[in-house]
Amino acid sequence: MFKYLINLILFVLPFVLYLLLEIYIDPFDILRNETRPALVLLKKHISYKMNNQLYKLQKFSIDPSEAIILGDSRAARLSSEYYSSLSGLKTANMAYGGGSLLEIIDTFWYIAKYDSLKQVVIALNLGLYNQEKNINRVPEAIEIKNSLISYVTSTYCIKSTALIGWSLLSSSKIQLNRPNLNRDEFWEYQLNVTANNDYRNYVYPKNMARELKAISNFCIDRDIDLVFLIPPTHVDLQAKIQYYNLIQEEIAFKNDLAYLGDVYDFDYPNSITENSLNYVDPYHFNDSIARNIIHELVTSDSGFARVTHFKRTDSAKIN
Amino acid sequence: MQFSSIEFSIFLPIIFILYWFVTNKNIKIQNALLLVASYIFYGWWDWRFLSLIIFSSLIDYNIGLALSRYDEQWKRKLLLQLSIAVNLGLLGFFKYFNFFAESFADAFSLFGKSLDISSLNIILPVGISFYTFQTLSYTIDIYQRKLAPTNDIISFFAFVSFFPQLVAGPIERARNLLPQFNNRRTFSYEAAVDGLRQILWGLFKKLVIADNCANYVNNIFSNSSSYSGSTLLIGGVLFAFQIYGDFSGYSDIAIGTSRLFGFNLMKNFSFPYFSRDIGEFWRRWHISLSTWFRDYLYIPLGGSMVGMVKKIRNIFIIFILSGFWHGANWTFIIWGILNAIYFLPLFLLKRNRRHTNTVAEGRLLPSIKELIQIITTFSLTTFAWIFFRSDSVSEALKYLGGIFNSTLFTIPILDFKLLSVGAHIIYLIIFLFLFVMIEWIQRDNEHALSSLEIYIPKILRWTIYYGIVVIIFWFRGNQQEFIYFQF
Repeated sequence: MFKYLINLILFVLPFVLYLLLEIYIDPFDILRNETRPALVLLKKHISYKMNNQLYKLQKFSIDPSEAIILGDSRAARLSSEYYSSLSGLKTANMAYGGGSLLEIIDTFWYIAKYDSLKQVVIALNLGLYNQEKNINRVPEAIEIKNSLISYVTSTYCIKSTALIGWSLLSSSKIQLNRPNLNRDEFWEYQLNVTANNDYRNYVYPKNMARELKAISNFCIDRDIDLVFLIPPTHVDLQAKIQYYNLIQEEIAFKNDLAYLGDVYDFDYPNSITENSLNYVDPYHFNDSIARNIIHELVTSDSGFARVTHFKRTDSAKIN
Repeated sequence: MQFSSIEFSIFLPIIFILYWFVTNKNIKIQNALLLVASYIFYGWWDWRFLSLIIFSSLIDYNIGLALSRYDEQWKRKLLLQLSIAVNLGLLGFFKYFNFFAESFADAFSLFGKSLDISSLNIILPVGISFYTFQTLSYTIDIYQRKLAPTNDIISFFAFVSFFPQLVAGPIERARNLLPQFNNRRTFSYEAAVDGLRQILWGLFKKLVIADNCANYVNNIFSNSSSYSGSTLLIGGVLFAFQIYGDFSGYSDIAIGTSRLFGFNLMKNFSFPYFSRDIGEFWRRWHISLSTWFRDYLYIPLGGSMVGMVKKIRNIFIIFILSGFWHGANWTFIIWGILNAIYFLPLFLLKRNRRHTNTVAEGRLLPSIKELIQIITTFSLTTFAWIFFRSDSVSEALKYLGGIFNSTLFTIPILDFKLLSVGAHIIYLIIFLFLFVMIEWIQRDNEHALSSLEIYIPKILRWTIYYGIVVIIFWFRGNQQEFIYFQF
């Protein structure tokens, strides 16, 4: 038994040393707020890409903001700095790549605890407003954030530590998730596979709609501006809604939002959505369109968006 | 509690230390510790599930004792029937109620009548199919006078709930496992080291092979109409690796963990994808279930000692029930029927036991003939797995229709460029290749990392272990629940 335990301890020793390195680097700033400039940059580059939920939630809890942007990868393209410069509100972009409505809801309630909010922008399309789209990585991120053991044993912390460590040692820039296909290929993939995943088994999200109603009520009670943004998708993708016979569902979706907060709807055939040059792929607009969207949201200077202003009396209409 | 979770990595060393350093003087206390540990392990999913396993254990413990008290055959038979009714009743209710209710309503709709049978929102208790069969083996063995009942309630309850194999097997026979609870266990350095190696290999199979394959399999199966025939074919092959890595990985961890506590569980997988025919495959795949059906159903039905028609009936009964055991879906039943159809010609021609030795025994490479046999068996198995993986029979047929068309002969470079993030697919191909090679080289052994100390010096062995650990941490796929937990 003694020999066994000694061998076991010797075997585990390198992992204990690695654990100490994880604690030293602390890639997601869970243990302390990073002040070393080189590490700040590396963490932004590496840890953020490893797990944007964990990275963003931790950043927010260290330094809460007055305005937040919630949504998926489309909303993630909206610059919080630009939003902040126009609105004068300290802004955090809390949208995640591949996000879902469940993640939006959980992130909102997590952030609401900080009592700092004045404005909330929730970016949603029909594809997200779907009971079947039920991925939710936020509880995992919160669990990792709250437990040191979960943190140091998480794959995100292990990998980020190694990449940051390697980057420091070798002074080389680490490339993560480089795209390995051209624009046309990816365009087709998004239309055929991703859209299929979004719309094939569409189910009206009854429970999530109720959660959004609770968020709306919460915002009304605390005088927080709640704005719904329907990001512009390319007309090729808009056509998929008809293809999957979901026109009525889309109307219901937009009606629901109108009973919850102000709605800025960019997702209809217009000169933005008809021009593929405005897009990286049918889902994702480019940076210049992102700036236009922010401008319209903040200044209420309606250019492309169809705006529906919310009246408090409307809120009673959704159950 | 999942084997691959942080909770388990804390739980296991604590129980190990308490087992060997605190309770080692008294076997009864050791068994009590294992029972408490097993209930904590099981209750971690949902503590309400514990009531079922306690109820099932209590029934079979008492029936076992009662069986030994009576000599009258009718009384003994009645007790056995009670045990079977209770255990299968629980299993039937929790696992199959909705299936039968819906199938019944569907059957009515064929005649233009609608029948409104509301399905219940029943949560399937984890591992119920495994421990139900395990406790049944106890009462059946006592009834058949192959085993004496135990008077030790703690050791019996610990036998039913033994945490390493509780939720996904191997389905142990009372004759093998129960006596081990009654005998003093001694720590064996070699067994414990080998146990750790087996756990390591099981984790590699589950986290690297199965979970990484799952990334592709989930996408391909849920979007089958978007992909070429060749991609769908690869999706089927990847699922074959996924389910093997997942299930046999679990068994490896279970067996390895048991060895840390001085227990020996039965082998559940014996390199099944190197089988030369379906008969051999079924002697190597999920051995604890197929031998359970053989011992407790096939042989009592007359096995092969009956007329031709009954022989065929028995084969179909075994395979269909084996499919149905996996879940309440027609896909599993068709999977069972397909395997029966594969097996039947070998059986009728009395060629099902041709290959009882290891393939290419004493040689590094298989012969061309053996290679063709292996590939053919693997292809047949993969074909059946498509039904097993699909959500419905129509989905499976659509998937198969997608494979067998002109796009089968396209090279699916674009599909996999789209499915893969970065060079992920390249890593997966490398790992699959290494995995098959290591399993091939070790196919004569208990598991793929056993007996390494005979051929490899310590420093190289440790390098291999570290390499596997690093691969597990670095390349593990998105965590998926063990597939067999749902059964």
